[in-house]
Amino acid sequence: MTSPSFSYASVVDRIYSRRSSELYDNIAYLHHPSGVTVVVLRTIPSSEVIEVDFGSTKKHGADRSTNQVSGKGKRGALILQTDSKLCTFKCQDGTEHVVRAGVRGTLVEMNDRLKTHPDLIRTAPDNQGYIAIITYGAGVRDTDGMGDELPKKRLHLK
Amino acid sequence: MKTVNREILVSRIRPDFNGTLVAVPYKVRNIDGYLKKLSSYSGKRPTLSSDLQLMITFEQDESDFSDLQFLQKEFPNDFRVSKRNRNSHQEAASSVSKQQLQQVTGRINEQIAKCLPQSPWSEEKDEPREPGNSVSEKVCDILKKQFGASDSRFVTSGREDIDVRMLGTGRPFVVELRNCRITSPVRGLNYLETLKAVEKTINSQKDIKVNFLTRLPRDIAEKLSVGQEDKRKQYCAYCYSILPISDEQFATARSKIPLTIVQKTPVRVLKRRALLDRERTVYTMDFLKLDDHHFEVRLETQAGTYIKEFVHGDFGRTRPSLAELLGVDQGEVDILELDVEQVDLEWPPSIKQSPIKFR
Repeated sequence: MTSPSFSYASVVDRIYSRRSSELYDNIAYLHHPSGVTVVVLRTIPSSEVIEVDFGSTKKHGADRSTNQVSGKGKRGALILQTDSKLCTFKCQDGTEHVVRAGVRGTLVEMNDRLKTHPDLIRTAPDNQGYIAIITYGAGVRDTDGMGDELPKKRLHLK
Repeated sequence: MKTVNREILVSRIRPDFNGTLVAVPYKVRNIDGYLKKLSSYSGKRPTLSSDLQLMITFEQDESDFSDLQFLQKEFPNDFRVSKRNRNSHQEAASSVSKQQLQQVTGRINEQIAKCLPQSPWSEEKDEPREPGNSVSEKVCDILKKQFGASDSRFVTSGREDIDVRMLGTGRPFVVELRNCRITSPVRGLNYLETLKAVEKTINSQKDIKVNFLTRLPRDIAEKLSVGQEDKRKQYCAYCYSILPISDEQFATARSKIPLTIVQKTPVRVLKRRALLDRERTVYTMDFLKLDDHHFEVRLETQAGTYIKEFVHGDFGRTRPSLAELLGVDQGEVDILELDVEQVDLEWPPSIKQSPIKFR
């Protein structure tokens, strides 16, 4: 084995392509070449996140986190338009932030751990604090709405 | 088959029927006869828009098993086991199937190569596959040539990713060869010698090794795919952690084993698999600390466990992950290299009495 270097590409950057969103600056896409995208937060708020809300009973009904998909074809998935709301989160300092999809696709999964641990979206945005997983339909591996590649994060051993 | 038979016989025996019989199907002639009688008795005519459906079944028990046997004996060439029926053919036809099926099995090691996919595969959808550059091709091509087979099917007990090596005793596999032209080397007991020579040929290739090559009858060979989830596999992974890990953390992690983990379908396979929760068991786990940040972990898990996702947590969708067990989940743990050390399956199944003599 060669002597270990002291920084590694993170797990995510090793496998996924990190892209910005053309429409919304606050999110980034981790796109897997097979055609699955994980939506993560890009602009990290400075104050602690106290609540993540997946469905607004007032306006848009459907609680995103109870979305059940079945089978390889992901039947029952919510179809997303570019401005579909994924979730809203509230911070300690009172600010509210909305997260919208930014791409058209089908919503496979939302991170329901954010219900019990909302601050993960701020402390571990690329890992346990991911927002949602989107895919595009049989055989489709890419979509519009994803911007340029963002620089990969290197992790340094602490 | 039976009605056509009858038609031809009748047309030969009774030329005075002038071929009318052959032109109109037997079924239709029968039905016509019945319809005439029915309408004369009931005064009604058949129509499609009626609610009453009349079904007439003709059972013919003239052609039977003895006919089948006669035909098999006289015309064996016409009895082909079609591709679809390969696994579920009826009892009667199987003994005279002209296509020779052979099952060759053994264990396979991918020792040196780290970039060898199991079956022919290419990264882009339209790129042509590099011929011969897959495990299945390396084994099957040689076997196909040796026995003049037209077609082969390569089945293993489990698969691994392209960048994972298979060490130890190897992974059990079965190759089914169809339409073998050269069968004398494996008749009777000859196969014992022949397969040793074949083993040598395959092993002279750089990237893979096989051993324990032997021939098995189909029913035993099919057991390879049975009971997939009861099998266990041993892995050795070389990992790093961003946050340093102390000996106590390793000891705490080890004390939690055996452990059941729940894995959601990993994101990297989510496109072609359903989203499911999979429960898997980790039976044993041992650590070798290399320095504060690097370590080797040796695991024995239930078959079907995604090891890479167990180590890095896959966005927290595999719980508990190794990072959680070691108490470093605020940082990151990732895998650098993965080897499969052992597939726990007794294969080829040991034949207690003398080796099977094949026809």
